[in-house]
Parts: sequence; C-alpha cells; structure tokens
Amino acid sequence: MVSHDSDKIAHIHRELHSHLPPEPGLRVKALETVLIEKGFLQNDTVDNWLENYAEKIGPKVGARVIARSWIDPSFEQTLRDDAMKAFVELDLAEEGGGYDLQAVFNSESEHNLVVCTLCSCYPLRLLGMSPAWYKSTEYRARAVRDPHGVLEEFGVELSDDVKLHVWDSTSERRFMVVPQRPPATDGWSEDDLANLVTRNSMIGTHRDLSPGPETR
Amino acid sequence: MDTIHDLGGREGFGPVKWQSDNDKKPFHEPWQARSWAVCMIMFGRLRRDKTGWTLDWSRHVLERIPPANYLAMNYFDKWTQHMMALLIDQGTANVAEFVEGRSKSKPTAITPIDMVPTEAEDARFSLGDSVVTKQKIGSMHTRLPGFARGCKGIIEASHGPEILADDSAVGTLRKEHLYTVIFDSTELWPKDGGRPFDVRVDLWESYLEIP
Repeated sequence: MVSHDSDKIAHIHRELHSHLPPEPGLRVKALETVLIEKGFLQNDTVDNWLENYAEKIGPKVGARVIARSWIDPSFEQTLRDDAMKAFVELDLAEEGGGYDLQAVFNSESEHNLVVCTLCSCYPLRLLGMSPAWYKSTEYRARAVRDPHGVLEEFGVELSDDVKLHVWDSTSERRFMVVPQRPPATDGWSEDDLANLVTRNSMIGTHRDLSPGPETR
Repeated sequence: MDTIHDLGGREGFGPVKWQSDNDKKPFHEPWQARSWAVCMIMFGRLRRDKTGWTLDWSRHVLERIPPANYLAMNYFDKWTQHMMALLIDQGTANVAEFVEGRSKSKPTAITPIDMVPTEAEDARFSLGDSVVTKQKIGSMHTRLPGFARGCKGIIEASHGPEILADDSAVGTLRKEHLYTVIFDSTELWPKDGGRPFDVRVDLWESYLEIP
C-alpha cells in the first residue's frame, strides 16, 4: 500500500541514489526489466505505447485546432468557451478523455506565456512531450519574475503597449496559447496555416508567426 | 514542505537552456522517451489498482529527491527514480531489485482502496474579489508557490470544486473551490522594477484569505 510517508520516501531516494548505476539509461532499463519480470509490462508494451503516441499526439494537434480557429469564427468561439470541445470536434481527442484545458488568446495588445514553476505541468496527452527548455530550472525560476527577459532570449520583443500575462500551471487545468494569425495569409489553406504554428508559439515563447520565404 | 522544486522567482539562474530544440525532437536521448512511457503506463496501472496512489503523491515523491540531486539530475532521470521510489514504498519492488535490474520477489498483494471525494462547501469568493494568499502553509505538499504567498490578488475566474492537491497527496480526496487569481508584478516583486506584467495562478480556497 502507499504509505504517504514523506520521510520514508526521502530515505528510499537516498538509498537509490547511493546504489543505482550512474547512467540514466541503465536505470530506466532496470526499471523496465523489473516491471516486465513482475508482470506489470510485456516485452513490447513500451515500444507499442511510444509508437501509438508518436502517431496520435504532438504539436501538430494543437496547430490544427489553432488554424481552424483562424478561419472559422464559430470554432474560435468554441475554443474560447471550452477548449477540449474544440479538440473533440476535430476528432483530435476523445470525449471526456482530455484535460480541463483553457486556450488563452494573444492579440495586438496582449501576450500570454505559460509555465509550471512547481513541476512541469503541460497538456502532454494533446501536444506531446513539452520542450526541454520548458522543464529547465532556468525557465521555471525566471518566467514569473523576468518574463520580458526570458522572451527576449527567445527573440520576442513586446512593444510597450502589449500587456504580458504569465500563467503558472498550479492546478490540474492546462493552458494552450493561441497565437495571432499572421498577416498576408489570406486565402491560405488550413493545412498551410497549421504549418505556421510552432510548438513554442503554443506556450508563448514565439509570437510573430510571419510566413518566411521557405514556409510555403 | 518547501523543498527545492518550488523554483518560481528564485534568482541566480542563467539563460534558458535548449531554446532552439527542434519541435519534432522533445527527447535528447532514446532512454528519456522510455522513462516517460514507463511512468505514463504505470500511472494508469496504479490508478486502476487503487493502491492509494494519486498524481499529487507522485509529485511529492519527485519533490523529495534530495535538493542537490534534484537540480543536477536530468529531468527524465528524476521521473525514473521517482517511479522506483513509488514502487518500493508500496511494496511492489525493493531497492536491491532495481540496483541489480532483476526481479527477485513477488509483489506484495494490494488491497484496493476506494477513494471517494468529499464534496466542497459553498464558494467563499466571487469574481473580482480581493484576496490575500496565506503566508504559511503546513501541508506536506502544496500548490501555493512560495513566490505568491502573503500577496494581494484579484479573483479572475472561478472553476468550481476541484480535489485539493494538499490532501490528495496524503491520500484524502476533498474538493474545494478553485480560482484563478491575478497578481501584479509590482505586488509579487516590489523591488524589482522593470516592465510590469501579471501572473495568473490557480489557487484553492484554503490558500486564500480576506484581506
């Protein structure tokens, strides 16, 4: 049974840290092997799981929702009111199987930036694994204190009239930033628009999705 | 308890690493993807087995990695070690088995525990209310970040009753109203100067007081 005993866990960590092999790859191998031998996993469970996820989830899923919201005002309203419903409508998530997700919209006068200062909360089951920088101690420490400085490192310079909102993911709610549709994309197909949406733009470290010469 | 994981606003960190990673490659090494997969699969299993596991307990187990190791270890290596610690704690495996990478015993039989959430009381706050966050939190695990304690904010949204993380971490499911609270940067960091911004934090009712 789970002990919920904090000091017991601290003791276990010290034991593990003293005795486990130093290479992280060997530690995962040990974990997986023990779980297979105890019957919790089959030999191919992890491979199958990774293959399945690679096909179904990732930044492209969010990009498709955002592109649709740019060309369909009623879909945009759905995304604002109930973001998970927007994913379900495009068959990109199962009914009830997702998150309590909030889409936060950038505009001419507002910019949004998402962080999880306490751990690494992120809508993994929709957008896939978060980027390494999102989980870095530097980002987690600085995004709520020096967000303009962090954004400048990513090449985002907000003009003085743009308000910056930082969202700390402390509850089970999750956030996805909806970037603005770039100018000069009239008549573009939904797929071409979706290709402009980057993973960083859905977190807020990329703002202007202006199409470059190589994009189309 | 306030361990090293509560990083928001801590100073002395340099530029953000790995900014220019490729969108399609969130893992630097293949073992990292395996660690993630094993943990995600096992979360589902632990939930179904009703061992008393909760995601908040998992978070706390990760937070108890000793501070120096917490800062130095690779992110996914921490996931691996926290999963080992979870499994050792509940009697599924022991330290020696993970050290040797071989199972030498049968897991202890688990008596499933049905955890039924207690419903929330009526909401104490409404949209637009001024609130002040508690200065001290005695929980083993909490989602009130250190940087937002003892600070004045405004209720921006009310999300209804949600399971309180502090209780869930110790195996008690109790619902409390959850709110988004907006804090001005000048309230959080009055001496910092620089351009203003706001920080929005989801906070449970028991973290909040009337100013």
